[in-house]
Amino acid sequence: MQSDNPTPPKGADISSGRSGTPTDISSEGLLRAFQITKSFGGVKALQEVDFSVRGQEVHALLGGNGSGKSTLTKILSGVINADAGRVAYKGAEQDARTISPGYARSLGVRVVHQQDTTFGELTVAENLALGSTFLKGRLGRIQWREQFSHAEHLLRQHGVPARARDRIENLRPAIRTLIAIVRALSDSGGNTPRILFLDEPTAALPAKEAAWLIDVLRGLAESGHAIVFISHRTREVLDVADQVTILKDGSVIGALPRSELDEHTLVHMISGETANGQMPIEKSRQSRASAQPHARLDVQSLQMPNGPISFTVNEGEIVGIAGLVGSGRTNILRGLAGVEPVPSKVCVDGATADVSTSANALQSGIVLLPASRDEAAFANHSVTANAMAAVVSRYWSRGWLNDRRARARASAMINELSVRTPSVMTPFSNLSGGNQQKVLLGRCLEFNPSVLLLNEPTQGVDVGARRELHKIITKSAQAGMSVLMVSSDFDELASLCDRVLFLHDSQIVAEVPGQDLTEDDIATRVANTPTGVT
Amino acid sequence: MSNSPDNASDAPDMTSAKGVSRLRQTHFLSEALRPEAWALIGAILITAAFFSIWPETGDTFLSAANFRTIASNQSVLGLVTLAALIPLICNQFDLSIGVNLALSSVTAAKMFELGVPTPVVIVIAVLTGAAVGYINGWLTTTLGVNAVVITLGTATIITGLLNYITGGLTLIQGIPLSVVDFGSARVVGIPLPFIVLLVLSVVAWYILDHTPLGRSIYAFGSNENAAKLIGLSTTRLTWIAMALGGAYAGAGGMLALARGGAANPRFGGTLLLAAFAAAFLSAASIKPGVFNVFGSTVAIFFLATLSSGLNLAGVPSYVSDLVNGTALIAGIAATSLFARRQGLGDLFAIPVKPN
Repeated sequence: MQSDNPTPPKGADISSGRSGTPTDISSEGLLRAFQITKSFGGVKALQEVDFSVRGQEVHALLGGNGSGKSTLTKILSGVINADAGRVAYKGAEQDARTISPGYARSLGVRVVHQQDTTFGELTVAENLALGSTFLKGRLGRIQWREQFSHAEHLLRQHGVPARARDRIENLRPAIRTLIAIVRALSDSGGNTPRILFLDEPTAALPAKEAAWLIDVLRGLAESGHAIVFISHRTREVLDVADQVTILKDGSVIGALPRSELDEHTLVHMISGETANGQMPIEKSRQSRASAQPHARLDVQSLQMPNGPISFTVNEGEIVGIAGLVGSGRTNILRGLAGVEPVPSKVCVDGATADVSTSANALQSGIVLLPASRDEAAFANHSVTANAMAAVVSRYWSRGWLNDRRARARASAMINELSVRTPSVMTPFSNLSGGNQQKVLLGRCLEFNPSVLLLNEPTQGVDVGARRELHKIITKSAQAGMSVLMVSSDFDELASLCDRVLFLHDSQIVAEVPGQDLTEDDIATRVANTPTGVT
Repeated sequence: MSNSPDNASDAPDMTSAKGVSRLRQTHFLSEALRPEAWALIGAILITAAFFSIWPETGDTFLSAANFRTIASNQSVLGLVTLAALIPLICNQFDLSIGVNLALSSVTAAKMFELGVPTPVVIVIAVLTGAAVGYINGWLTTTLGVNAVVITLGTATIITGLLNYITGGLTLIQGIPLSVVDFGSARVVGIPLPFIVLLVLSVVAWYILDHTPLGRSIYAFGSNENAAKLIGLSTTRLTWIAMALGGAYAGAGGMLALARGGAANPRFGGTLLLAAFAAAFLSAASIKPGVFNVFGSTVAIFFLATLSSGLNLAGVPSYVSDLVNGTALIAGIAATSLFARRQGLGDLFAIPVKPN
């Protein structure tokens, strides 16, 4: 074996799977960050954040959407540079404005992203080798025999129940995630202890698998690595973490050892009932006390993986769906909108609605705003083209498209929805996320739908845009639309919804009136659903 | 390994931060006033001026006859370019347009041989092209593979079919004199084939820019998922775009027959690369960043002016190839840089998954 190739740790006790401590670890932090500050445009993403991780530690990094978790991860791994601050990797201090990805990497920082980064068609051994380098012979030929035995060794060392010759696509998701982690731990760069950032590694896993993965992570930490664990599942965090740092709006609002936390405190801190900036929107139900509720959307049966579900949404009602990622909440919306059709029996305003394709669902008055703007937008087209895309034929008369009228309508829409854009002919991609979202919501409303399906309507938008989007949604409901909304933003669900459906394993496990719910209630219920709350 | 800066879902909105600085650059009228839009036309004028002044080519280049030759010679290529362009707008590469043109040409010649009246022949030629395009579209959506693969197959089949019909020979029998005359006629000094190209370009521009159908095709090309989301049938749009492209190839075949007075079964294949070059380069002018009809006309005449001047200067024909190839890559590079700067994404990236 050549010297530049990674050699398996010598004399590791392979049977235990917890051994092979790479090098001696000082009790000092492997990584310490001081006063990290970063803003994007005028928005402060991080404000004087202190953060430190030790070897053998599982450190949970928590916070809501937009709290700065990703930004911090990116700064510490060198992907983006901070505006101010210092970072000490193993005691060697560095200006946080100048960290390069290569530098962070050379000191052992690795990030494993939420999405699957393994190559399904390749073997486990190939996947592991892709992180570092293949073991090559004299003429550059890959030494497959050595490669496979090296991979077997790594798998045993880290306690991965897989074989080197298995194809990745045949493995369970949890094992695939673990392979990505092992790759990050064993890639080129020798046997230094790693500072591993795991971005929601369990988000897409069923509870049992997640628990298993957590257990393995615990072991990895014990072998000397530092693991920074980003998760939304509070219970899981309490199971695995030694130390917890909670971010909110770019500041650390808590950095405590696990022993000083319980679930209630944790949920409370993440959702954070800070008084400022929380101006609850007047719930739509209060203004629409109609005596005889009329079910505009009547889902009599919608086929989900674990059996059909049914529910209704009344005229003018906003119904929320709360659940973890992977609970099937997105599938409900996509099924109803005909984007990913499933067998169903759906009525809109009493008439059977055909939701076998998007076009048919739109005909029936059901329109979807998907979570991803990339999916919904014509990014290189103008604001007008995006806003009016669905209703182009309205401006077609006497053999000519009347663009002037389309632009006038787009202008009016932009004013109604307070979209900030230099002109209606500006390329859509030049708008900020919040303004893009308003245009796309406007496009949905242009259909004058009976049923408005919203998936994460305010994901990745700033606070101001969020509030304006909430106003638009509330107004739409007041105009009589039935709104069905999926959101991970529990404050949003609590403040907007007349009812919230709780989803677990693609079944509705609870239905709670909105006035009885607070953000904390929703968070607790969602976090607890794996054990079954009905 | 995975330090990529993606997955910014819960980072503060970075697009907005960048967006703020970018917004100021975009003015209300900037669409029409962008210098990029007219750069290629400027390049044509500069090229023409250069060859007019250059002693070796000045006399011949700057003659009405030469401009007529350029205009007339490019008219068939212009139609094939439109045949490439329309499917390209919705990300479909139709590699069969060249042989499709030859097939229409040969079909028309056979019809003339049978004594079918000219107007009927024209309709049949165009419909033949459209039918081939439609079949390509149907196979593409039904099998769910990229049109490149399908049209490579159908192009090969058509090539075989052409050889079977013609025995590899050019058909010259029975083509009416009126048709041949049309190919070389002029109206107020302008070659008729060029007028045909202009008229059919206006038709294509009308369909693509001023009808809901055309807007839907552009929307599909911009984002297939979003197009489906607003209720467009991308399957049907693929059929229509490819049939429309095929119809333009058919019209090209008819025009080639009129210009040459014969149907050459091998003629179309040589036009394929030039047509795609011009179709791609169309995104470099008139409406920068978008494949567009008049951009393709400008692109064709830019390349034609360049090679005409070089021909007159007596440079060997391989030099024209080198210059044309370089001009194409330079034009594409400029356009894609521009598109990226404007945040329009990778314009010329070939979609990996077609459907």
